[in-house]
Amino acid sequence: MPELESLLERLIRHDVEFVIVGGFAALAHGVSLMTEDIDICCPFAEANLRKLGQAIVDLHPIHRMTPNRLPFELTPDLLPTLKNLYLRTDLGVLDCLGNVKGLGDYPAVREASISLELPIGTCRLLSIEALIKAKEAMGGPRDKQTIVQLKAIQERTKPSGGTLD
Amino acid sequence: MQKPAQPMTSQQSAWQAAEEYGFDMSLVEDNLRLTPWERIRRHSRALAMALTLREAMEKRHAGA
Repeated sequence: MPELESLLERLIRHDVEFVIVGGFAALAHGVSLMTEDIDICCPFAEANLRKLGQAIVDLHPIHRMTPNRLPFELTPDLLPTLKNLYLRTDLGVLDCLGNVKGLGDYPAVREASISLELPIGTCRLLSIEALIKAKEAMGGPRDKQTIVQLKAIQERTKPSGGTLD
Repeated sequence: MQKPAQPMTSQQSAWQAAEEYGFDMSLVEDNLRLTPWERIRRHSRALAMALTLREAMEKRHAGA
C-alpha cells in the first residue's frame, strides 16, 4: 500500500536535495485530485543520487519503466548516464526528474520553489505560479484539470509565495 | 462527476470557472482550511481506500 508521506519523510531524513513537483505538489497546494506517486526534481549529481539511494535502499526499488523491472542500483557505469529515474518502491512510486517541462533544469526549478514546513521536516515544493506554468507546458487532460483548480486556489489565496505552514 | 467544460468568460472568476468545469469546489475549500501536511495525510488515507476498492474490484473481475 502506498505511503507517500513516509516516502517523503525518508527523502527529507536522508537530506536528499529535491523540489516536489507534479500532482503531489498540487495536492499540497489544496487541489482535490488524487495522485498515486511523488514527482520530484533533483540534481543528478553523484552525492545526491547516493543519498537518494540510501533513502530507499530497503524499499526494494525497481526501475518501473524497464520491461524486466530491473532493481535500482547505483553502479559506477549507471551514475553518469542518469537524467530521470522512474522508480517503484514498497512505499509507492517515486519519479525523479532532472528537468521540468516549462521551467527548465534543477536550478530553475529550485528558484521557482517555496519552502514547506512539515512535522517531518522542511522541504521545497513548486510555487503555485510555477506549477501552473509546468502543467500548461505538459498540456495533458489531467494537467488541464489541475490548472483549473490551481487557478481557483491562486485566486482565493492571494497574495501567494513565501512559506506554506 | 464532472460536467462538460464550459469556456471561461472574462467576468468569470477562476473559482466560478472551476465550478462550471464541474469540480465540487467545496472539497477544495475544505482542503484550504487544512495545513499542507494535513492535506497530504488526508490524501494518503483516501488513496489507500481507493486502492483497496480497486484491488477488491480486480479480484471480483478475476473471479467472474
